[in-house]
Amino acid sequence: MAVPPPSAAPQPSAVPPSVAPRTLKDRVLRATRRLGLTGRGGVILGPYAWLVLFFFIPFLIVLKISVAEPAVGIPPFTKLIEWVDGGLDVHIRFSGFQALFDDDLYVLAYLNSLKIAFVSTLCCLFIGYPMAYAIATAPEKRRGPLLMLIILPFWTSFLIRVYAWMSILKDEGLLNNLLLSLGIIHEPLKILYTDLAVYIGITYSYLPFMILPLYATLEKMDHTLLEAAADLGAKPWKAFLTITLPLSLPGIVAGSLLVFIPAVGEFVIPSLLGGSDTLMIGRELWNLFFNSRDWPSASAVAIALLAFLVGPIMIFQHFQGREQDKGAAR
Amino acid sequence: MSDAPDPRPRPAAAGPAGKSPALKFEPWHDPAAKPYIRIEKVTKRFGDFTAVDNVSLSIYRGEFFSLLGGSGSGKTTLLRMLAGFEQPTEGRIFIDGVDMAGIPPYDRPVNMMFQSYALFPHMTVENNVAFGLRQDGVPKDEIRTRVAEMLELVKLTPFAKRKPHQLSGGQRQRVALARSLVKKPKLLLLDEPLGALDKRLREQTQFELVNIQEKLGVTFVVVTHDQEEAMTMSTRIAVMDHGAIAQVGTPTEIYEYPNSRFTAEFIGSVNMFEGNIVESEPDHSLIRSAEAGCDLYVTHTAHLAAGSHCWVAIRPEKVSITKEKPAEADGGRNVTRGVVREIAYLGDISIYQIDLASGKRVRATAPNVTRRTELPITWDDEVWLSWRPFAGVVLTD
Repeated sequence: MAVPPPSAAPQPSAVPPSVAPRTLKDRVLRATRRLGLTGRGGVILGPYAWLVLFFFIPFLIVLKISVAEPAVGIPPFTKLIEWVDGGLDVHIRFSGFQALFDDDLYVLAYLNSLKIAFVSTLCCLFIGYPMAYAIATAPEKRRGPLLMLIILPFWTSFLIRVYAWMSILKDEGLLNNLLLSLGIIHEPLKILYTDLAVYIGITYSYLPFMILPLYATLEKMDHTLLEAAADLGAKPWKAFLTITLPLSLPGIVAGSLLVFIPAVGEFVIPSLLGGSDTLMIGRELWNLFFNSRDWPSASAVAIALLAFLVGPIMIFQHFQGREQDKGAAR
Repeated sequence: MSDAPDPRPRPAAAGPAGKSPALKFEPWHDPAAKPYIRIEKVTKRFGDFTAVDNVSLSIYRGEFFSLLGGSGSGKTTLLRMLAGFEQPTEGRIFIDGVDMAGIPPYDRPVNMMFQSYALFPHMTVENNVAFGLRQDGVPKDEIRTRVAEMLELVKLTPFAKRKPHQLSGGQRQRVALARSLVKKPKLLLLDEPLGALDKRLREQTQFELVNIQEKLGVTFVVVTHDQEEAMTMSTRIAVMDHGAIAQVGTPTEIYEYPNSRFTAEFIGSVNMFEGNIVESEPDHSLIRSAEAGCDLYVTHTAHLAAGSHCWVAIRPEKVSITKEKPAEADGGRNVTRGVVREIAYLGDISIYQIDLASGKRVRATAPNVTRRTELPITWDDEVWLSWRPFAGVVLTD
């Protein structure tokens, strides 16, 4: 039987326990700890404060405006709570939300926005996947420069790039002049101020958001898996369909949502490149705010848009969470 | 080669496969036998680097053939050329008489088990195993029965629905094996099949691999850096060094008759005595070695002129240690003296490190036939070392 280790006995300390010198630092630490503030808490607090200050509170303001009524004045909406004759009057009106359904303009705009975002996302996927794949399979020292090229357009303002597209797509623009001089067409094509121009603009602008997450998943894929598939008799395209594609699904989902979500609410591109008949909800929102000065209806549109997008965002979160779980399991 | 190789070289003749001597399987000695794989003068270069250097090999049907070498010896590159992932820069490879030049991996009658196992992470065990059969358009019912059979063989039936990340290392290894065997390949290539397993599991799996190989009659070509693993499982071993083949032979041949200092030192541990030939007759050789402190008499010819420089390799277990001068010592040949410096007691055997007068340290192993307390030899004892005339092998390089 083992003898209990002598160290288990209380040690007779020759030196009395030293009294900790109370410095200012100690006192501050003690005080913050008593308040439940630790270093870790402080680090987490930062992002939370940011989110509350710049996302949650503005959201509450928008929500508040959406249940007000338009009024002539500054601000152009009624107060939510008013002191009237010694009592609190709470005004909650849903006229803004009702307007969404009274006029099928908004429903159409929503649907059209979803359609344009969906088609643009597909275009980004079909263009972006081969590009991401090519970069991920390129020799390692060439990947950096290639990725740089993808990110490079961000160095120019988004607005300027959209204007550049206007000069490319307009009737006497680069594209039409080129096609005319080559003799492929005899009359300029009407591209600018059509839905096609909007598709081109959105696809162009959001392509990097598709390529980067796709590249991230494709790049970390184990190349021996494709060798194993080939070894088991899978021809290259079959190996791609059964191995590469399913394994890059998280990248596809992430990229698609990163394109789809902002594209639904896109305002600049349809305003600049789209025709007067290009219905998009972002544009209607702008009109309501600045042309009609109907802030409550505009806020209602924004709230409804958010509700639409919460679904996809939650799918995104779910997939990301699953990826992280898998990573942890490995 | 590391300083501490396995101190207990296995008696090579008694592999775990229990290949009985009555059932002699030595097609390489049969001039009529046709090799299943013929590698003819194959060289593979990556830029300036020559990974495989003019290798020629014949491997026969049903063999368990090991490519043994350290890292960078070219063994994996050779295996990848058999699988079709690399094309030889020069030379040709024939499998079953067919020239493999330009044939992609998916059209070769070969399957490979990868070192990393390369299991498809998004598929269940069952679907991983079924993958190869699906590529060939095998009917669904047949796929189901063959996958079930294979999982039964590797004892993974209860895990059929699991994903690879829910399995242990040993289970993943068996999934990889099942997946590579389900198509009934004539030739299975295994890249460090046991490399990722711990020691105990590795020993157990060695037996399983050999049993499965014999049961299915598949030809195995295994890449390994573990000499013990190669000795235990293989019918023949090719020892590779710097892209070239140093020696090909059965485990016994490689161990007992190494043809070079490299092989002798790579496989097991060995005592090398430097010396000069005194006599080289058809039935014996005599080597004078200042290092050994005695003349070395070896019962085979060295094919060398008198006076040439050579080495004599003697395995530690063939050196016997005695306190008294051995009686059979004839004329001071194969007998020398030294002082015991280190003793490592391993239970079944003990390893003795003995310093000779020349300063040369000799390693000798002896089975612990008696109990430890009765061991007659201890530290700083002066002892006699002796070995039988057949023990040594004369090497020139």
